[in-house]
Amino acid sequence: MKVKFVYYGMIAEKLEILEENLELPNETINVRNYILNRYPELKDMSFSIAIDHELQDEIVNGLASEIALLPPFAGG
Amino acid sequence: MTMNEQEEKYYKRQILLPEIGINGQALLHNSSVLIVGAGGLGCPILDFLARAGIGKIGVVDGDIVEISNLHRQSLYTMTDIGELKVNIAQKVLLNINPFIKVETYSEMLTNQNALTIISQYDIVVDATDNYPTRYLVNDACVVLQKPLVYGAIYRFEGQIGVFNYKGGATYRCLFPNYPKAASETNCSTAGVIGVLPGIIGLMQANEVIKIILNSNEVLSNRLLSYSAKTGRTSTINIRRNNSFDYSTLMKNGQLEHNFYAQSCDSLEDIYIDELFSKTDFNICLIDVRDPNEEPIFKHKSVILMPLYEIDSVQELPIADLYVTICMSGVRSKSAQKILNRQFPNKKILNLKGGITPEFIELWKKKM
Repeated sequence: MKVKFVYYGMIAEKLEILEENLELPNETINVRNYILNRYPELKDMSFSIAIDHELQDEIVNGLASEIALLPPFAGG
Repeated sequence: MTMNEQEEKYYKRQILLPEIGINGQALLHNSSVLIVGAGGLGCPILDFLARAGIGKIGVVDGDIVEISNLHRQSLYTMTDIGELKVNIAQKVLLNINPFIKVETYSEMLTNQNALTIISQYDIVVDATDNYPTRYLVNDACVVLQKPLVYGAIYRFEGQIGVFNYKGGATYRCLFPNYPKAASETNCSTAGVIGVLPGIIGLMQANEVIKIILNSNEVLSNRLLSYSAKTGRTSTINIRRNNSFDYSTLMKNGQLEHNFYAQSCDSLEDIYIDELFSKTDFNICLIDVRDPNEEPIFKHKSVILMPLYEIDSVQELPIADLYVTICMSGVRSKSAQKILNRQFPNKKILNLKGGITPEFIELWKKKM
């Protein structure tokens, strides 16, 4: 299953991409574990995960089309 | 609301809008809005809310104007450098619109003053530049049931949303706890393009006006992201959830005891002289040595929690600050890490170097 991953703020900076398509395994997975496994450099960063524009449980069962990683911003 | 001729002329162009009209103008005039932070986001918010005719505007900020503020903080000029931001803001805003009231608080929002200040306003705007104050503003708004208009920026990107609106999602539904240290950056460390806080701040001001005018399309239960570099905008939906349990904070007096750390790095050490100089905090010492180890400190501010029992601890007594102690500072460091995981919203420090003769001497003097 191909899923579009969308990155924001310091996560996009760290990975040096705004978005990418990734092939997810055809089974129920924990998105956070998946992404930290793929990108260990994100392990010290805080972010929330939105699946198809909904902030929800970080589990995907094969139906998602877009997954966004949203870090908090401090600045003002 | 009875407007004099000049006031009517002032607001004429927006009164012409059917969505506002004379009744909408009266709603704006009878409302009160608190802006926390008079910096990059705060300046455009204050400017345009004053022009819109918000009857009472409050502004909280303890900072003075610096030259590095001027590329984005649009209320200030070169001649204001060194002056308190809130004083300049008040003067400028009353020049912009003499038909409104501007209240100033020349201090930072703290867990001690937040409830008193916020309770005097209908709507709160988060225009701060650091996580501790963002969490504090959010929690105080939840306790007082006030809508919170959130905005935050990072370099070229911004986030906007309305929290705690009619029982809707809160900031902690999106980000339950303090971010890890690596995520901690603000405009002074990360840099920021000057127009971005202008854009995001005005989107916040727009949400304030929508709330006052009872719009059906307030940006509640949503987070809007905008990139000034790529033009990318996107919205995600957030529901009120139980990621964070507010029940303790809701109890009377609890917010004042929740520690809103000035640093997000939760694995901090404290030195002996710092510990004994913090007289204005209610400090709880957590002694993690075995119960029979000498010397024994008997005092109401000391609790015994041997390291091997630490992961079964369910509750900590009320305090502003917790400090783990042991003979050398090694076991207490481990205990601190475990407690930080169990109590992410408590401020728990480790006593660096442990129980030295200096510690014992200062302890005897103080107790």
